[in-house]
Amino acid sequence: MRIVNIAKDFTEFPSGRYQENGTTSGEEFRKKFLVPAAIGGNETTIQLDGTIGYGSSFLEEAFGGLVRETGLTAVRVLELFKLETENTVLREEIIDYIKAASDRSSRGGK
Amino acid sequence: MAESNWSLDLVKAAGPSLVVVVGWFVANKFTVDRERQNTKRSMIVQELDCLSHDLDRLSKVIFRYHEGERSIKQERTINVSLQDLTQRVTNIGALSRSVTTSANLTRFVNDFKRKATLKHFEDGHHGALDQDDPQLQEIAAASHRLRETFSKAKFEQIDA
Repeated sequence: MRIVNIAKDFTEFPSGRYQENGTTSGEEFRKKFLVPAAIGGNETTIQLDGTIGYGSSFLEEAFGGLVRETGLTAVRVLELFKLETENTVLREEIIDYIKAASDRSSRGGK
Repeated sequence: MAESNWSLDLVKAAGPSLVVVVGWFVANKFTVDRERQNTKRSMIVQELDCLSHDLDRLSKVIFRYHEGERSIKQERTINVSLQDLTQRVTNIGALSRSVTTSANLTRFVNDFKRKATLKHFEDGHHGALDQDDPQLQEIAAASHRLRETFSKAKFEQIDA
C-alpha cells in the first residue's frame, strides 16, 4: 500500500481550491496524488496530520472532485483510500464530501 | 474429622474479617472509580467552556475575514484555529464515551467549518461580502448551533 503524507509529500500549507490559483490547492493535490492512484487501482493511505489545517474548499475540491473526475463510487474511493488522522472530525468531513459527490453523480448531477 | 472441624472453626473465625477486607476493597474501588469519573466530567466541562470562548473569538475573526479584503494571514489563522477546534472536539468525543454527544459535536463543528471555509475562502475570496450577505448569516447560525451543542454537552456532564 502506498503512503502519501500530505505535509511531507505535498505541503504543510494546503490552501485554495483551483490549480490556476496555486500549487498547494485541492485540485493540484487531487491531480498529483489522488487521480493517478485511483486510475491505477492502487490502495493508498493518505496521512492528513502535520499540516496547519485544511479549508473545506481544499478538501471538497480534492476528494469530492476525485469522485467527479473519475466517476468512482464513494464505496470504491473509500476502499482505495485510507484516511489516516487523529482528528476524526476531519476524517468525517472528507467522507461527507466523497459521499455527497457520489450521491450527486448517481442522481445525474455534477 | 477433628481436622475438618479445625478448618471449619478457622473459616468461621476468619469470616467476618474476610468480609471486612473484601468490603473495603470493593468500597475503595467504587470510590476511586467515582472520583475518576468526576475528574473526567470536570475536565470535559472546563474544556467545553474554553471551546465556547474560543468559538466566539474565532467567529469574530471569520466575520472580519469575509467582510474585508482577502488576507492570507487571516486564512492561516482560521485554518489553524479550525484544526485546533476539530481536534479538541475529537478529544471530547473520545473522552465522553457518549456516541450521541460525539456525533452531535462532529456534525455541528463540521457544519460551522463548512459555512466558514467552503465558499468565499482562499482563492474563492473575490472581495468583501456585504454585511447582509446570506453566507454571513449562515456562519452566524452555524456558530450559534455549535455553541448550543457545547452547552448541551456540558449539561449532560453535569446531569450525569
